[in-house]
Amino acid sequence: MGRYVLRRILWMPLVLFVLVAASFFLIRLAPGGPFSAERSVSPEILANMNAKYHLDAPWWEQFARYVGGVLQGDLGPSFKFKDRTVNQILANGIGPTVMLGAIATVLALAIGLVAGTIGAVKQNSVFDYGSMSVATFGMSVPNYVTGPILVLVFALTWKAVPVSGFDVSFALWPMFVVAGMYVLWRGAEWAKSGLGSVTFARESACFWLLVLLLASCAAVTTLVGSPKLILPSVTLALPFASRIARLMRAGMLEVIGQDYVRTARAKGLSETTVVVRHALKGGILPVVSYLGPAIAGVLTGSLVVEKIFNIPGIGREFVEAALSRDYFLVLGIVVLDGALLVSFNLVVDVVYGFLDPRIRYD
Amino acid sequence: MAATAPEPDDVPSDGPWAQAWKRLRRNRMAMAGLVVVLAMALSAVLAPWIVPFDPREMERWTGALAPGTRHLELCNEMVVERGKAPRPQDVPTAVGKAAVDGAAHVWRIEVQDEVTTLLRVTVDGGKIQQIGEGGKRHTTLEIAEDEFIRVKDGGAVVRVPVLAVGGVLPAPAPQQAGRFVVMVERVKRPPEAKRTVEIALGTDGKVTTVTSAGVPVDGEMRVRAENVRDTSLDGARIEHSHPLGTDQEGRDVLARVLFGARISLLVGIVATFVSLSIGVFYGAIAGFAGGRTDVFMMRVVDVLYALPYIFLVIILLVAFGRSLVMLFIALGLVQWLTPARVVRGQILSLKRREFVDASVTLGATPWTILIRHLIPNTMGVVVVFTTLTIPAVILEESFLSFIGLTVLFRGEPIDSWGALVDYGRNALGGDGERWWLLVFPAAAMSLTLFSLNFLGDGLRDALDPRQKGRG
Amino acid sequence: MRIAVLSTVVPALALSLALCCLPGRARAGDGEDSNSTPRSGEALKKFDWGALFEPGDSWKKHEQKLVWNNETEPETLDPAIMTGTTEHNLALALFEGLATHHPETLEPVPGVAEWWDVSPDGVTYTFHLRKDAAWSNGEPVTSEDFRYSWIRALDPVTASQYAYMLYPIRGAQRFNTWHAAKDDQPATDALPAPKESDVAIDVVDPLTLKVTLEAPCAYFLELVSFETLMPVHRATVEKHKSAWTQPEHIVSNGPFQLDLWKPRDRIEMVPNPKWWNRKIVRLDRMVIRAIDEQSTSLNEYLSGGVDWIRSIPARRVEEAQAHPDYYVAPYLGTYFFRFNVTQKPFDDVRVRKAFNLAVDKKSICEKFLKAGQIPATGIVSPGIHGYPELAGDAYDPKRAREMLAEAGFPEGRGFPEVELLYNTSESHKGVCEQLVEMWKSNLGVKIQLANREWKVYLDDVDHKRYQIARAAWIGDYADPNTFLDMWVTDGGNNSTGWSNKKYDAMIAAAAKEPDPAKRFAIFQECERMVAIDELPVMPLYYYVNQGMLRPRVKGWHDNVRDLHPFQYIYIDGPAAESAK
Repeated sequence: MGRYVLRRILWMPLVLFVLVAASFFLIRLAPGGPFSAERSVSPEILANMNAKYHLDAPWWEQFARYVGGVLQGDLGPSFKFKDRTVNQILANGIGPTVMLGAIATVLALAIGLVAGTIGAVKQNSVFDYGSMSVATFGMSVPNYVTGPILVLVFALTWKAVPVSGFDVSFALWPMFVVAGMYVLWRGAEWAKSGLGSVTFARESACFWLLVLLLASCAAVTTLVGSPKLILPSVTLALPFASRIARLMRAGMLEVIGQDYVRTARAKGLSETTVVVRHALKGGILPVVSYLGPAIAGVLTGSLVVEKIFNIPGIGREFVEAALSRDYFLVLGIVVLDGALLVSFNLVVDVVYGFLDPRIRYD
Repeated sequence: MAATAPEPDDVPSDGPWAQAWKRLRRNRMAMAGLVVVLAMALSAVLAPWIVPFDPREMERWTGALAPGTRHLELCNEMVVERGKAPRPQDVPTAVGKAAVDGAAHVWRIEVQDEVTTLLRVTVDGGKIQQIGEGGKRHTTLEIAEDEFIRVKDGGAVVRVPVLAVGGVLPAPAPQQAGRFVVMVERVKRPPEAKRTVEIALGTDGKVTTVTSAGVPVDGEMRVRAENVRDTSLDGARIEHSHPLGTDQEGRDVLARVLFGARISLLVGIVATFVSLSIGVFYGAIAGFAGGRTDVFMMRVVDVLYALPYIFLVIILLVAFGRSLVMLFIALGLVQWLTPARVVRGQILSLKRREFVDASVTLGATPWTILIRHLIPNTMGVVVVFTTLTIPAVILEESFLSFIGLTVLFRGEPIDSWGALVDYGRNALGGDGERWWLLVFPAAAMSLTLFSLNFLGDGLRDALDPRQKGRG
Repeated sequence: MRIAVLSTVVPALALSLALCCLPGRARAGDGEDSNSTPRSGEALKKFDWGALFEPGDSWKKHEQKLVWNNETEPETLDPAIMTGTTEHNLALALFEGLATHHPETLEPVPGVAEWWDVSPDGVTYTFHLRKDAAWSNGEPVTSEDFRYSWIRALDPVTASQYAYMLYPIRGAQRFNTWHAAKDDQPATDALPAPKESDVAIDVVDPLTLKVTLEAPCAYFLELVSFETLMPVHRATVEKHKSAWTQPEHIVSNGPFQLDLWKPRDRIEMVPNPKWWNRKIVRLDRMVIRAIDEQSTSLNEYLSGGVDWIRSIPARRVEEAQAHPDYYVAPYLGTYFFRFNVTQKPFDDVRVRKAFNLAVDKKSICEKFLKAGQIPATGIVSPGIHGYPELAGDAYDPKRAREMLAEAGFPEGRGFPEVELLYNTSESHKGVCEQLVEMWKSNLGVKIQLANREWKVYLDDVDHKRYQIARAAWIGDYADPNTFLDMWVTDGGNNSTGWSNKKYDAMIAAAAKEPDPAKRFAIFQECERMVAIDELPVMPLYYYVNQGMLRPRVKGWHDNVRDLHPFQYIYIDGPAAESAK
């Protein structure tokens, strides 16, 4: 395991270098420069501007200068936002993007896992059909359709939430701490009495479920305190929640049919115990392996949600930077998102390794 | 199909494809998906025969008409001249047919020339607060004797000498409490305002005579569409209905959705074909070659997997232009990775089978084995991935439309479902006005996507029962 | 109150904005014309600020907080390098130039300079600064601050895109461009490198600044109120470099100061207690949102989240027009099409004329754009004091066909394949589709549309890789020069390949002409040449600016450049208005 993780970490710089090199040269192939404008700039003034940003140097020199800068943690200036460096812009934008992405992922997991599990346990019940229809619907309606419709209903007609913007308040977090402690206490008590001996080791599904429960408490507390985040996170979470619910249901159905679960049932264990202690761990695996692509999807989705709800994140920044040829900003976002994605995939693989004893990484 | 891989849980009485079909038929959702997809594809192909409208042709600017609205079909401006065939857009379909039949016809239209100016009158507490005309504002506005005003969209004619700030907007203008706006037309009708125009078409389809109010017209005659009150051909009104309404340029939504289906499905199919071809060959070669080649080729796949590809797609489209070819390349770059992995796995297990050894003994070259024997055996995977990749590509393309990178075809943005959805999103009003412009294209797209997804899942279960339920 | 006032002033605005003098606030019962502002001299001192200040104190009951949407994130808050209206409005709140804008007419009125003198030959301007002008840190604003700021804007190292705004000053252009130009011809420029002192900006004493121009410049005072010429605080700029505009560093001299800057989300400003005219500022706080999706912006307005939005999404114009808060006003800008006159078929003026005559501009404005845009027959947008609108050729499809036949394409036969270039945008697309349809039905020619992404479009136009291209021009200042000097031979924004020696000479003559009437006559001649005789461009319409404003926002005036000095704005009315 350790060696595998190490190897993956060593791969990261290579992946990122490929990414940076490809983006660096591709974006420069695009016609037009960062300073072209409807009011075209005189050659002398353009020369002044190019000199200021070293754009008059040969390509290889610019590339070397850039890579050198990145190695020292300097992602360069922005051509468009002249008062800020790319580092500052990313520092401003990463917060909202990650915050929304995290809340959406946690919500999607919580809703998806619960709905999927109940659907599988009560197969062919009204709940099963209902939740699966909603999930199928949610999966195939893109979020740039759900977003405007949610705005129309909840922000314009009911005026229950703001239309746009981003303000996070952690004022209610003391409440989260209380709720979290309550969840932990009840969970442990319930596990002891209801499930017999449950270990909360990293290898057990219960451990990860508790982590998820705490995260959900945090997400919901944050949403209650920051109404501006509700619509964007729901819009972003919907397709993933649907997908996860379907995966979870299918995974659970498969596990429930297997011998060891039948044996557990035959021993006379309660349904809850069977599900939580035995079935969950196997049933959740397809969901975990989906999390990698899901994170890439959340990044893509953030482009949409940030645009509709005017969230000051880096996704929106990226499209505009590419269109306005803000070379360093484009590269900076690619590097940052690439690093995020690669690291998160690693985390997912590690969690998968804990949950599935059949996987050996060496 | 000569597939020899034995299926584990079925007695091979039929061929594997027949068995798969049997299993698929038992899956109700998948069959429903198949029916929907086929219906959608069929109506896309038959679109020109289903709807009588050209999805690109703008009618006069009636604004967005709600679903089910019927209206007179009129061109923007009609031009007729003696001795010339009328422009196609000036000819109602019935007349066009008659001309083809070689019969002479008289086309009668009732014209009422009007010059209108649109005024925006703000009323507060029953009193006129502001009179706006475009960028200008009036305190008092004299209405000449040969002019009158009427509330826009069919209000009654009102004759008043003057409209003034502080005054009252004469009935039958709507009266509400508080502050509100009334759009008022100030209308001038020239003396020869109302007349009947007769256009006689000869057997050759050319105009023989044009008369206006009984007086023959020499040379060209122009009639503005908004001034035409009635068109009749032997007394029959030429009317059209729009079951799904029209967009703001007066284009029929149903036509646009169906023609959009053509484009979206075609883009989906072609991009899928490109990426699957790459994926299957790449995976097959890696699996068949084995050893270091395999390790290297799969490492490349790993690296590409780790990239935030949507960013690369955007950069590629920005750098090389938003052409269809570029879209296929950009999407192909991404979508081939999973099929490549799966096909490689299949080839790895297939190449140890006896039939491969047999071919080798018979002197077949590696290429022959790969192409004749191994790749055909991965067709099950290909079919499954086709149904799953098409929706992914359609979604991807519509996502690009959303962020403003609509793909161009011959220099023009394509009217794919994605473009229509984006149009609808921008047109959606604060009270849900013009909802049909968003809802219908989105519904068509979503329906197709989830049908394809169901079909894909069903096919996977049917073709490889062991994989049932995964992903 | 505001309504009554508007109704007397606005018709004048609408007709042509022709009043050269200030109409003033024209309160009911006031003697008109007593309050007009002289262009120079000590009389400026008597400028009546009270006249801009609406009386009454009912506003005191209401929370003085204005929330508005500035369309997009400002690229910078450094006045020397900013370029757009987005930034200009912010600069107006944060900084104050020697002169500033009158809120209605945008005429230059005294700012940091209490009054100024212009020498009889129109070349030397002497600005007399007010004693009480101060930076937000309490230091006085001196003439040295202005000298430093202007030199900084011209310094090649600053790389200001709008440095050319200072070129009328003697020595400025050479100082700004010498480094860039010398690379091309190192040997020919034998003169030594220009020094700061070669630019004719002289500090006479801390309160007097003398500026000498290359030649008389009729619109120099307009430039003085422009953002590029606003002062910056030297110590702050030198200490914090490009980060000096951050809220924790910035030192400014305008009516407001920066309180919060959350990029892409909002900027918040509070009154600057050190501003010399602090007593007229009634707002307590301004929240400036950066919502760039127009649909989201309108939704935000409808839900009550913002009090003023500066644009309406093209697809929702009619919906907005039916709302009582909608406003529309003329805007100093022209929408037009360039012809590439270096290539067939548009090298033939008859073809260009035919294309112009075949377009029903009125119908495009009324049926498609719908917001009251004015069909354009000239290239200079109306709204410039004393400059009459040019009446060019009207829609005449018959004459258009004759012209085209004369040029050798009867009924469009034999007309080559031609592309119409435009940049990606729904409304441009719609307009271009209308044109293609009109040219097809009126001339019988088939035009292919070519959509390009913005930067590619700019590149193509710049390199003349087009036959017809959509374009727009927004005036930098209210003077015909801003619309006309670009068409000189090889002008940076000409891009049509059109060249006419006589035209070049007339533009040069206009620059030196001290008599405003004669100068405008020359410009009229120039415009006639561009828009009627030679037609390197086809004007389509003059812009309007439209938006939504809550009636409780007072002291706000629509004007031709959409600039709003915020010190005059206040809130008078309850916040809890129903949104619909």
